[in-house]
Amino acid sequence: MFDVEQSIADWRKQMLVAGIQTPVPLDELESHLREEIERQMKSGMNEQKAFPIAVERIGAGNLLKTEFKKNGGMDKAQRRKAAGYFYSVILGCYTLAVTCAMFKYNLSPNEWLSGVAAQTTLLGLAYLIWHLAPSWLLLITSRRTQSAVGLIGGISGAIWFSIFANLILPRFDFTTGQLMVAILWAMVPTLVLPTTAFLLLDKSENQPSVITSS
Amino acid sequence: MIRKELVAASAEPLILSLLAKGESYGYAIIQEVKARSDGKLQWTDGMLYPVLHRMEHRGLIKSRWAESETGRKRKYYSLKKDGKTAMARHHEQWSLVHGVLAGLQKEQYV
Repeated sequence: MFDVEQSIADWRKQMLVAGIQTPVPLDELESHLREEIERQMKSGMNEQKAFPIAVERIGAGNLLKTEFKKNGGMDKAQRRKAAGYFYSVILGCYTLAVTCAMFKYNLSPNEWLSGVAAQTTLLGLAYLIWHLAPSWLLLITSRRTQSAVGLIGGISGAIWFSIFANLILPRFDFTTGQLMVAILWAMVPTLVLPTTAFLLLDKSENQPSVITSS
Repeated sequence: MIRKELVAASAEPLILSLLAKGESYGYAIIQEVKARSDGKLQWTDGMLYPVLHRMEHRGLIKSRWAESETGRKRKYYSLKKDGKTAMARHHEQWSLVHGVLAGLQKEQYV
């Protein structure tokens, strides 16, 4: 004697084995399965015949699992948004720290002016690159070139600051205020260049969705 | 039969457009697409759910569990503000493609 409830319970077990998460997707799929069985029965079939048809229409568990797995990560727009928040927090903290340091080290009016100019340049450039770079990127069609420019952007910030700290800075006998202003200007490419790198290297799109298994 | 790639590409705009008429659930969405396309748009039923979940994850739609009139639990989906924006964008793009194709087809008969 065919027992539809037992068959549905067995189908749920098979789906679980295939890797369909529980409870939400599986409960939703079961609700769909029951609707389809009911529809088949309304058209004159009995439960025994309706059940395998409904199961076939739902699709194989392994294919469904593959599709559900694509939902795990963030898409490109979400990654950009998250990176934007992260980058804003970093720049905000940095600006706050710089402002505190400028007050602490009693900078002369000229040093203050230069320090504020450096910080404004940094924030302005970061803003411009973040908003304009995506359209510039369309000009670089070769993925290899994009990766190359991205990598160069990413590491050149660190290389530049290393050159500045080890080779340029020791050649000058700066006062505290001058040293601070010099560091502020040196930080402009150090913080701006990695932004370009992120925009160029983050080209991985989410896999497209599939809605037919045939 | 419509090509698999086209069926996949049209899934999101169709779902958004159907939900713009009011909240609905997976089974009803599939039945309505089937009816409106005279059965020519064939989705594998289960494959709709990963798409719906992905759209929910992206903030285009939202969902709630509720009981149907028969007492069965169903997950109802409805459009969010970002979903309306995405739908407008889809309509614009699909209209453009349709316009170009229709224009080219017309020229063939001139």
